[in-house]
Amino acid sequence: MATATSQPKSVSELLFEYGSKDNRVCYVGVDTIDAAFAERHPERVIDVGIAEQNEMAVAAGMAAAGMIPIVNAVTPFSPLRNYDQIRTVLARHDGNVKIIARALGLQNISHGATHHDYESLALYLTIPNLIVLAPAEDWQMEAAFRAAMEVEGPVVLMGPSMTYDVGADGPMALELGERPFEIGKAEWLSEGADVAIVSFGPALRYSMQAANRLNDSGISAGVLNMCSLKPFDNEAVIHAANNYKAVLAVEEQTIWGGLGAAVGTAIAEAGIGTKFKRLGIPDIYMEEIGDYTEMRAMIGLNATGVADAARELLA
Amino acid sequence: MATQELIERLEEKAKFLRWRSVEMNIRTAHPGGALSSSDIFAVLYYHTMKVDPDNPSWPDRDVLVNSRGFACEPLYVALADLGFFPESDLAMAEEMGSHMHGMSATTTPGVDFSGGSLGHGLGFGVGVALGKRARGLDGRAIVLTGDGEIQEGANWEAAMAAGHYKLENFVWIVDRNRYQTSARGTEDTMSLEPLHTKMEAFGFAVRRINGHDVRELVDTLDALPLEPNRPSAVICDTVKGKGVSFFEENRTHAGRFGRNLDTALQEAAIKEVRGY
Repeated sequence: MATATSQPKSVSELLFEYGSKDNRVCYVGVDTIDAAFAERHPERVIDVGIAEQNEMAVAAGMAAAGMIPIVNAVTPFSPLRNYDQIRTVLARHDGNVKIIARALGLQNISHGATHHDYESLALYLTIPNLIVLAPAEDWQMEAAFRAAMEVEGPVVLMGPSMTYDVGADGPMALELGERPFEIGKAEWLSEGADVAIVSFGPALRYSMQAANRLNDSGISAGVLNMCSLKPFDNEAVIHAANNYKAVLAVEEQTIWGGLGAAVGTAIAEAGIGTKFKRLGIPDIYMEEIGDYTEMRAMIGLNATGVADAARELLA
Repeated sequence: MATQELIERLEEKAKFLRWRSVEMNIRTAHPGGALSSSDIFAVLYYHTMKVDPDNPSWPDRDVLVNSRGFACEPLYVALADLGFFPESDLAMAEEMGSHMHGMSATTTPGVDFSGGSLGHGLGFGVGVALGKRARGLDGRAIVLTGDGEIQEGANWEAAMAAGHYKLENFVWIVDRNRYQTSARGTEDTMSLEPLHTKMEAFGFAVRRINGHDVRELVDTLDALPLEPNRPSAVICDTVKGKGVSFFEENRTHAGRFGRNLDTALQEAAIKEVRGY
């Protein structure tokens, strides 16, 4: 079990820390560099240019030569452009690579559907050997990064970073403080009795807001942070299904093949009959124009939408 | 300058890889590329490369990336002959419990790259070369690709990076047998030429040689890196199915003796390449 220090470090600071004490640690980017690390260790900063396929193949090769690459992966181009490289070149060789996935979900909404991340979780989940973590906030990112570095193999960190201007209702970071992080374990941010809201990453923020509103209106809501997506914490989901009247899975990803699918499967395979709903991005390209707040409101991915979905599920 | 004795020894090894490849082709599926690359594999494994069968993961070794995965027969035969695994394993390829897939993979001792999905080896090799350089390790990343494989775009992302990073410890060898799955040939399918010029434009020092002339292979690979501060590329002009007349005539890409070909033909082919 790894623990963050009291003041969470950024990924850049963590790269510097690990890279300074271990000369196998290097950075691989796509038209991106880490300036501080590059100044100190230029020979360990590789920028392959705008070439996502080569980014993952090069990282896998460097790992084969004994390096520990930290890869800056811009979502959705990773894993859309380089899914085969991640699957076949990196994970099949069990390369000791840590992928930092940025701009998850609909954060980059204004650029249109090319830049919307509908499916990165669904794709990552299908890859053997790959550990998939989704630390909720910076405090958990540090702990998850440290846990990932203790693994000799590929890990993707679907981090909390908000890369773009996400509007007034967007970047409300959860004030959750220092937390331990354990691969394979989800965590209950709050417990209740009526509805269990299971979520991760960007959606966790408005799921927490929704739970607070529900509790204020007399509905007892619990929130499960699914920060370890693979290995998946079946036990936590079964606890939710057994101890609440309903389970609501909320993700800023397509409803197909991601968190909701995994939660529903876990409940069904455990033979538990309960009320269950997936809330996520419907099966569409989001072509309307609007900011992060407006566009999420349109598909019910905000505090109001989550609270409404919970009430309907319990009705 | 290579001695005549060395050349003759390597030619014998090439002949050995060739007939043993045909022999194990009852189990594996790509005789065309296996036969066109046998001389290349012979020079690499019996002369050029630094590898240690007793310590396959020796950090300072030369790392061979058999990018296309198929054409694995001479690779398997050479590795067994060098002692990476027992020769008797060759009779078990593709059978339950064997370590040999129909495409070479790290399940086999001495194999550093799991190939098959085309166009991945070059980028992986660039990473190996960068990693060796960052760690101050000896040894080179040697990537063997087919020619049809070069149509995959990922190769050119990797070639760009090899040139940009001036990877002197990186070698790209092309088995240029001019045919891919389609019997029309590479130039009628999606043309690659002028390949030499393309590689040079990406920053490689390039040589184009006869990939069946062991002396040319030795002299060229002995001269690596071909130029300082540049990655090297060696285009080996070869003949698909080299050494077996009916394979050469048909430009055979895939097929197995004993499964969709005739065992009498296999015996004839072995006799043709072995000479008795």
